[in-house]
Amino acid sequence: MDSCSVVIAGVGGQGVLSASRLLAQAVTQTGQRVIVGDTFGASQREGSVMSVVRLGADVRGALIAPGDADFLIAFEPYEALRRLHFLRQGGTALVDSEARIPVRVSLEGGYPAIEDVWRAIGERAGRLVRVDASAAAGTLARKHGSHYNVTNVVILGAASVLRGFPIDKPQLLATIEARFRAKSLPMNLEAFSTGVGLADSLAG
Amino acid sequence: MTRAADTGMRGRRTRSERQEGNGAESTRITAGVEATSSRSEKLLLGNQAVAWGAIAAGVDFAAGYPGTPSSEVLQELIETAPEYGHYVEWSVNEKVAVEAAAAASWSGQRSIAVMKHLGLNVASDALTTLAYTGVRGGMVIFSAGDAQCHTSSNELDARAFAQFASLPVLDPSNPKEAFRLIQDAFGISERLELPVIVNSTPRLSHTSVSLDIGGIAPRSRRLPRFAADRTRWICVAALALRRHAWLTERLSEAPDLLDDYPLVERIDGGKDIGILTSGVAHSYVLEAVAELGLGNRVSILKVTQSYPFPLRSVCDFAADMRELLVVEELAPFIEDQTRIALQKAAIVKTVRGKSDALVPLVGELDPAIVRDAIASVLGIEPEPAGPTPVDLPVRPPLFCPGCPHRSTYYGLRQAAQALDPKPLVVGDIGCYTLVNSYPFEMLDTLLCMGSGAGMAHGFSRAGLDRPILAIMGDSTFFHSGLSPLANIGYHRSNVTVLLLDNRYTAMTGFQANPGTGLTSTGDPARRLSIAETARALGFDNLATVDAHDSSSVAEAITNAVRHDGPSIVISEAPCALQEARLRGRQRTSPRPPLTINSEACVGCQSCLTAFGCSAIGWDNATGKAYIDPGKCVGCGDCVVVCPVGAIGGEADG
Repeated sequence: MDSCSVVIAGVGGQGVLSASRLLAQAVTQTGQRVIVGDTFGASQREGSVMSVVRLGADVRGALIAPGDADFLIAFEPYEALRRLHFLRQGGTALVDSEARIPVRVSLEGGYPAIEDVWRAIGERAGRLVRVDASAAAGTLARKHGSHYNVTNVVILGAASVLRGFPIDKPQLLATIEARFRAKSLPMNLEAFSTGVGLADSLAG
Repeated sequence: MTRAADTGMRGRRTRSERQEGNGAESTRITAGVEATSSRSEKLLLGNQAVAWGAIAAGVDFAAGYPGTPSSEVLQELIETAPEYGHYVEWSVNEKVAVEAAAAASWSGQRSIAVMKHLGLNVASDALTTLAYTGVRGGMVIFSAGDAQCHTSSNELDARAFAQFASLPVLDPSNPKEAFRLIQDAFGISERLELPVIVNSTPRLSHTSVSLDIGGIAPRSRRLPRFAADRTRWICVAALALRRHAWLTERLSEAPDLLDDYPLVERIDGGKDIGILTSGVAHSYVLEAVAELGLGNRVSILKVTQSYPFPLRSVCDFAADMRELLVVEELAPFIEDQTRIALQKAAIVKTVRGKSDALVPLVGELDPAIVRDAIASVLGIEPEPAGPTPVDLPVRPPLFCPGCPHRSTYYGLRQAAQALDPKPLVVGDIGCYTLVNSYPFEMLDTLLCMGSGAGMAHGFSRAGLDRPILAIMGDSTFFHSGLSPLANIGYHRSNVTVLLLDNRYTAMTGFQANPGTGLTSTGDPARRLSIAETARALGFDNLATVDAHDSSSVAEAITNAVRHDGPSIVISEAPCALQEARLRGRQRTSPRPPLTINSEACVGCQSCLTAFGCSAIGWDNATGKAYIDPGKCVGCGDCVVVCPVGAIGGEADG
């Protein structure tokens, strides 16, 4: 492959930047060139966050032009819509189903209806994979009696089996195994395989 | 014990706490450089590459003040200090950091001062005279700018500042180059005997790449030796003029003194246009030239040292080209310098760029802007315009659940509603600036660090017929609050200061300040008392309140405003996010989340529109508010907000 750009979008606090680091780390293990650019502004909590992971021998800058992303991975549907212009026509979108609507918008309006969001993403993406990653992460946290949120690892698991995704399952798994301490590793591994299962079930 | 070293907005965990978990705190936990790798390449943030460049150069002394997007440089130097032995501190402000680093340099050590671009202004009094005295040990000023004003109140261009101060400035274009250029900067500094500014932008500082920095062996710090020199280190007026002449001569000799440093990078292709560029714009140019297939039509000259401007290289390049296009962010610095250089060398060429609006003066560049500018100059049919962003309401950042500032501002709002006329709220810079955001929206002015108290005094003395309320945080108090507070105290202005003390420089990542009680490297230190200091500055009318007790906050503010003369309300409680991090490490359980009794809730929305905690949501279906147990930290601050007492208790299970 010449080059590949993955846009990861979400809400501050969801684990977007961690996900992009894990992904980039996995790329680094394979010896490919990788550049990660983060856009988060004053978005520490509840603001919009975006990270771009670019792979390939010729990639130079941390920004991409509209229409240049091959993959859009969004932790939230409205954030997917906010960054949709980066996705190339026919690219792949992987989006968590759970909408997180800011309080003000929920009281005063201003967001389009969720069906319109899915339609807009569907019109641009050649393939739209909707996953209930945050719901699955909530279930995992309860099961493991943990307060950690593993949504990002669930999403990476789902991403790893997308057709054409530049980093495959074994590479990401190896990175996750190297990344987490024994105590938290089982939950993260389960999160990853849950994500794989979610995407596989949709593909099937 | 905290090491006060993680960033909140982004960054990585310290060695001791890595791999503990994932998720809830994950925006500020990133893989960083630790993940084991069979290769020697590590994933490094631009700012981390800068820190490692300094380490590779054998830096002895590092000081700085946090500010996005610069903060990770010193964080990395803090984390590496035990192994590499350099001294490192978060100074109280950028000027103090530069002065401290200059003293280390005058003692023969290599030093670095780290700040965001706005900090250059704070440091400028020291910096502009430091150009006259010069330095001994290599001294680097790392300034991270903010094209696009992502998190800053202006997008000042540090290259223009460097020229104004007569100091050399280098513009790395990517993290890998930053790692090398920082090392070069120390050498250049020693060669010229001048501090060297290294200029960054968010797209360099916050870009990560995999980088092989090789093995860097720890070495011992250079022993400090200060050699007295009355003709140099005492910059009194009579000497200053001679030193100015020295500086001018030194800058004119710079090209010869530095001829073995790669201060430009030239790629020859065709001669239709010569593209001059610098910094991150260079990568967009390379990508655009490749994408448009222009390798045989254009040549590229990357200007690595913008000042002193590499006249000869630019003129040689220009002479070979039919016309020139300058692609750079912010000020038309290279563009104007190129025109001057060409005029001096009597070379007549068209120089295009910002002067004919091909490249914008405002905001950051991106690949599409650069591609279109190059295509336009060459008369290439422009790419069809890419898709445009959907117009969605922004997702405003909010105070974290449990944040003491929210409770303080709820108290402020209660007090303000009962006052007539309403107070003028004069703001300052920190997390607490979010008083400007939904649902408070109470801020009247904001200028820069420390401006709250300074301007409040002015509004009061101008005779404005309203109570004047200045807002200030603990780190700002030590950074640039002392002087304006002394001004209020001494002139006995009728100003109320609301000081929000959450113990940390929280917005930039919980760095320690003199009010924290920890050194930058996490050792215990004696807290400086904000109350005692304020009293000494003339604020006898002083109240200290618990920030989580909004009724007491409101009462204290009301009393302070009614007092004639300077008064201060110190609303204190530690940053909730930092508390949660400490608690996480100590493994004690957090307080259980609260619930809203849906039977009792009358749907008045007070908890949303007057308090606005992100843990409280609205259910359109039932017309009632609810608490998200995954977000609620159980602070209980919202209990008093509900007019029917529906908030309380614990969540089920």
